[in-house]
Amino acid sequence: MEDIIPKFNYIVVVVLMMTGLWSMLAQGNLIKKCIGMAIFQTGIILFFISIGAKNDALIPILTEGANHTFDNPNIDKVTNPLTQILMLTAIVVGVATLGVGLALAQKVYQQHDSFDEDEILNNQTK
Amino acid sequence: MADLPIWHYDTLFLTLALLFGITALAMQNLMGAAIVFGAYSFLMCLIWTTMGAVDVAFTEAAVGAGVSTVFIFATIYNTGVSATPNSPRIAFKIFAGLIAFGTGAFLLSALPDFPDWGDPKSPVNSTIAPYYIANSITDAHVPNIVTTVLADYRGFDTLLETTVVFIACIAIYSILRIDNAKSKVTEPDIITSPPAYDPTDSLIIRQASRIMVPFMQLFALYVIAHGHYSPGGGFQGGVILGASIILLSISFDLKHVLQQWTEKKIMILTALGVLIYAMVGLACILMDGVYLDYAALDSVLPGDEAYARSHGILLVEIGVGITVMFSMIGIYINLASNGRFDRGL
Amino acid sequence: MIKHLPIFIVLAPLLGAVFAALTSWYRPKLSFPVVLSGLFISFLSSFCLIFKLLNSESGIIHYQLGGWGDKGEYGIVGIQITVDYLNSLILTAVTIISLLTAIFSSQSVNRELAGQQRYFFALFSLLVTGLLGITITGDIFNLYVFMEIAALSSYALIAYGKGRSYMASFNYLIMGTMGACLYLLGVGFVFVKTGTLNIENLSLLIPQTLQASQAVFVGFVLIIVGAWAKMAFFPMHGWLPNAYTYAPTASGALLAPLATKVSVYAMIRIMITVYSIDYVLKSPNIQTAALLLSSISILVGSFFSLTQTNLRKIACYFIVSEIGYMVGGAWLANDPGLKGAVYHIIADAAMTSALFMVIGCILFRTGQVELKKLDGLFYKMPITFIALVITMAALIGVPPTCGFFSKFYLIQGAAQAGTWHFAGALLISSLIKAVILFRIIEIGYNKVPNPAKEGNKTIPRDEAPLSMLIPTLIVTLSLIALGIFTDTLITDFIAKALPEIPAP
Repeated sequence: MEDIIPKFNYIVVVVLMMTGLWSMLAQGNLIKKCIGMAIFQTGIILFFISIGAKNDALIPILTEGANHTFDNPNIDKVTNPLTQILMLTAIVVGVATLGVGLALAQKVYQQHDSFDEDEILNNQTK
Repeated sequence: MADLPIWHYDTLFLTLALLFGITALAMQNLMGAAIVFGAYSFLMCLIWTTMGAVDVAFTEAAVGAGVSTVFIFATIYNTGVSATPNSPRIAFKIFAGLIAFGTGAFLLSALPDFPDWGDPKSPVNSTIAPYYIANSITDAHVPNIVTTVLADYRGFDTLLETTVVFIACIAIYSILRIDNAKSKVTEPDIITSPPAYDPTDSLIIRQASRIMVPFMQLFALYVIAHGHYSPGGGFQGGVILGASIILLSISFDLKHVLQQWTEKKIMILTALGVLIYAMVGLACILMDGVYLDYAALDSVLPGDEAYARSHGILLVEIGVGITVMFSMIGIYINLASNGRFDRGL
Repeated sequence: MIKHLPIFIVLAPLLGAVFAALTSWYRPKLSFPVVLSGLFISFLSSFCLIFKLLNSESGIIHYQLGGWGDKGEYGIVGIQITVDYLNSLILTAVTIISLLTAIFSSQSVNRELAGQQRYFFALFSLLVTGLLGITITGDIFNLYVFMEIAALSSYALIAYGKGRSYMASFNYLIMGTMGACLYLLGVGFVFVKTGTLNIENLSLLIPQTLQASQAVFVGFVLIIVGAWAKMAFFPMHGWLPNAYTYAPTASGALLAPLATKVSVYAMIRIMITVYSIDYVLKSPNIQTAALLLSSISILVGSFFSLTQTNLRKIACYFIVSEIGYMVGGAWLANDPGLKGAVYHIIADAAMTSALFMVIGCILFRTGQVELKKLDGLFYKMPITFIALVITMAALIGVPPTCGFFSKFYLIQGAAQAGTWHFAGALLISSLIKAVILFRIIEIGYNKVPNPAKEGNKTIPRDEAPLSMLIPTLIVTLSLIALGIFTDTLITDFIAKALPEIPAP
């Protein structure tokens, strides 16, 4: 049981990412594609955060001791900050891409009156 | 039981997140899908908090559960709310399913090779990260290690990230903006006009948002300024500031907000934040340092070299906050009003 | 100031874009000169860096951003940007082509995008920033962020085309984001086993200690597949023809030569520097699959270009087949193959740029690019027509143009490795391009009676304006110049960029 739970974590992450990927490719609705994209990206972020986690560790913000000084931190007890930085960037890039995708979808709707990909293709070739 | 995983609720949250994600994709009603997606984002935020990533969770709460959901709403509110597919697209779905399954199996094949869960001596935790943890105070006098790495050690990445937000704002502006006066309006108008502003209508919402907005903005400024000592920083504060204006435009009329925050102001201030960040770096070059080496600003900023880095970090965080705030407002207004800047959600 | 040149290459277009975005609200006419000066500073910096590189002994110029360099046992702690023999030529090529395209597009933007070109040049400059950043960075995560900068700008630049461009841009967005996410996931798998993101540190770690690691192998495949999605490699090429055809002239002229080639550079950089040729040769399954897909990509691109009547669509399918050349050459993993692939990056950038600029000139003057309606083009626009013929000759591989030399190296590499299907695909694609060239010559030259003869209708000469014509001619002549100077380029730059390749 003890070694299934950590693997369970990774398995859920992979399933989450593949659900997002499947939705991006297979769904016909443009908005569902965008939501699938967001789910894929949050899955990747979860993957990165989970590889930077440490057992019994505290958050990477050092606390002041007496006289406003900081003791030397015990490195094993502080969560890895590097993965968190990378994922801050990834979240922001994700929301930027989502915004552009939604704007394009809205413009397509304005032209074709539908978010469904098959309907749009039929409309275009008319 | 010595190596039991530390997060007891982690399994529960993960399963729920997976369920919510699948539900959001399966729902026919797009409004419902957007709301479930917001709940999914919030669950992710909780999962990351239990793993110790508080800054990331803060950003996800503000950006993912907050602003992303509002963007999806603004897009679908006046357009296609129901997503009933015309054809079941079986062939597509099976083919994509095979690709997803194959990729997933390929990813899982690397699983035995991974280091142990939560191992403090894994390669990720023992190569560069110990330097950051050990030297954040001595190099930059900032207790929040994430802020130091974000704005100092990997400050170039953050400049580019701010540029990405800026690009999103001007890209959405370029895609959607229609100037009613100038262009011959051949595009159909898809915004159904809301009823005229009646002061007695939804009085509670209007009064409540009137009270909340100043506190939101004050808290956001605190988040930006206190990012050195607590979870926070430029992004989170900027998004909250943007959300306060979006709240005003949802509870009141979009027109009223546009009278105060005109299109020109919003778009110019978006560019200003990126300019501040890039100029701080150039100032470092002029002071005989390398690009974004805040220690070179030691002669003009108070304190010793470490404090110069701390002040440099604050300056760039302010730049980031400005750009993010106005980009979020700009993106929201463009999506909600379909580029016409007159009326919306 | 000289030691800051590497950062100026990326910073100048970025600041140019921000200033253009600001001035577009006060004096819109000023945004074009601002962007032009940013691109020019970038070009000067990259040009000077080539000379600095030739004079240095180590052949690498590093620039540590934020002042954080090597901290002993921890490795490189900050972000580092590097200029070495592999990317210096590509940097110069990108800056020159973007400068010429900017001059080329001023007229066409005024005509095609009248009234809404407020942020066009800002987005133009931001795309160039992203591409230059991908080329110069020394950090694999930084590469992801630059990739997204370039991608977001290109979605917006394509969407300026109105009409069908919105759906095309949306499809590009989905495919491009999928590629970027796979790349990021690959970076994650590499990061799990190494703990560092710096290309220099990774090049020391991976070949020595992590050869057998499955996680590093999965990361490798994910990064490569992500790069393939970004460069429109078969089977992820569906987005390219629609996206580049429905984009406005100026966007197409900038995106087509540069965006996909820089992704090829990123793939080669990861293959050669981060993972080493040895690693590539030891994963034979992937190599065979990649070579097979390259040949299919070349054939698919060539056959589809035969079925099209729109000159722009034909050009887009040419790009798909050219990408097949480069990926195949890189995955041959022997000396002439790699030389051919790297040389072809520069050659193809020039060829595609010339092709799209010529098509832009034709579109500007005649209003359409349907092949069937271009009768008598030779008489109407003789200079443009000759430029088109020279460009097509370069694509076919006629000496002394650059196309001949890149094909020479690629076929030599294929023969050395014994991959005959790749050599066959190269020759078939040249044949198909020759067929299309003859079709163009026939339509442009033979279809109408010669106006010089007595009694035939005279056709007035109506070339594109000078600001469009001169950049076109410069790029077309550079095709011949690149061919003549092949030897210098190969021995002085490209051969020094490639590591020791183990003999077969």
